[in-house]
Amino acid sequence: MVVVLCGPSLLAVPSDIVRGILEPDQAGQGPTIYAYGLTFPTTDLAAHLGLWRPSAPPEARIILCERQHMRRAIHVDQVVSLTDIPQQGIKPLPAHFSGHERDWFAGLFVFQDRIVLLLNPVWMLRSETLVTSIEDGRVPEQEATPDITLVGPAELKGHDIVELRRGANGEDATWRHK
Amino acid sequence: MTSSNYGGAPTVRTRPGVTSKASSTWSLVVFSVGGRRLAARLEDVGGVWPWREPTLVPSRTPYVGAVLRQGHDFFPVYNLAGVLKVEIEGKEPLCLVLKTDKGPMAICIDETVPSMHAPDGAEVEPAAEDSRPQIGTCRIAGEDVPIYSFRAFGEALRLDGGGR
Repeated sequence: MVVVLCGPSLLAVPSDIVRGILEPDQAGQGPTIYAYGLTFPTTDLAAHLGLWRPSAPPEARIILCERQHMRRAIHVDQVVSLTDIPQQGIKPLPAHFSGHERDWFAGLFVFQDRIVLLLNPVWMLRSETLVTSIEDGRVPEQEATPDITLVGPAELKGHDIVELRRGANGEDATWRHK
Repeated sequence: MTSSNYGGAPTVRTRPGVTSKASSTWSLVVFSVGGRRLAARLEDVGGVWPWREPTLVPSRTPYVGAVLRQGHDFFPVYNLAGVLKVEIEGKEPLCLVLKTDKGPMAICIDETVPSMHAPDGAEVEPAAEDSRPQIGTCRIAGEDVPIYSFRAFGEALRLDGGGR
């Protein structure tokens, strides 16, 4: 697990989906990050989860995640640790939680005497679920990249052109820079 | 827990024509939240210990937005003070664990130590079905104390209409 600080909360990202960790200066600005020959849509996780934070601290990092051609770059306030947690140490979210949080978190565990929330990688990597999780009129600082955006040729000037291929199973998509 | 912290034995108030047979077996734990006295059945109470700062859980479930750890267990925190729109009183609040159909949950209560009330022949005025999670009222030391049960946790969300 990669344990990160996001607002006031300790969160964990499963190590098997982490492709890299960048400093904000390395990532540049914009809704996507191009690294390792791949494009990662960016997400401000704190905003998506409704976690308040004043501004990105100096320890802020961007975690690049990928699984089965689904990618996501998430902004976090600090990378705290890389640690192994045995499966039996991970407990499910108590059943009293019955809202969207059941999609957000795959469980919780104790790390250095603090409770850590394990992020659900399926939810993290699916852009449509991130977008639809926004409620109460709250808008994240950077919204997840929409599946398809139609623009005219004039609007393409100065932008990278990305091609979307639909996978055989109708869900996986491959992104490729031209 | 201490006995009769509030002084005075509970008295019986019975609705005309209604006598609760179950009342003779009821043992009540009386506690306070924001200065308001509330009661729970003893069998619904899982324990009382000093309150510790819980861990925030981003949540869309009304009044459930944190967890507490006790040993190997994690308890969701139900914000009863928020439901009742009161502030917890005292510098050293307590944690009351209540049993529900979804497992135990913690609520923060005032620092006043809960008391047990199990008078002989006690009778409780039952609450109407649509009043749940309030299941009745008991008169203690001249005050009508509502009795709550969160065994059916979904009923907890009916308090305050289920809104935040």
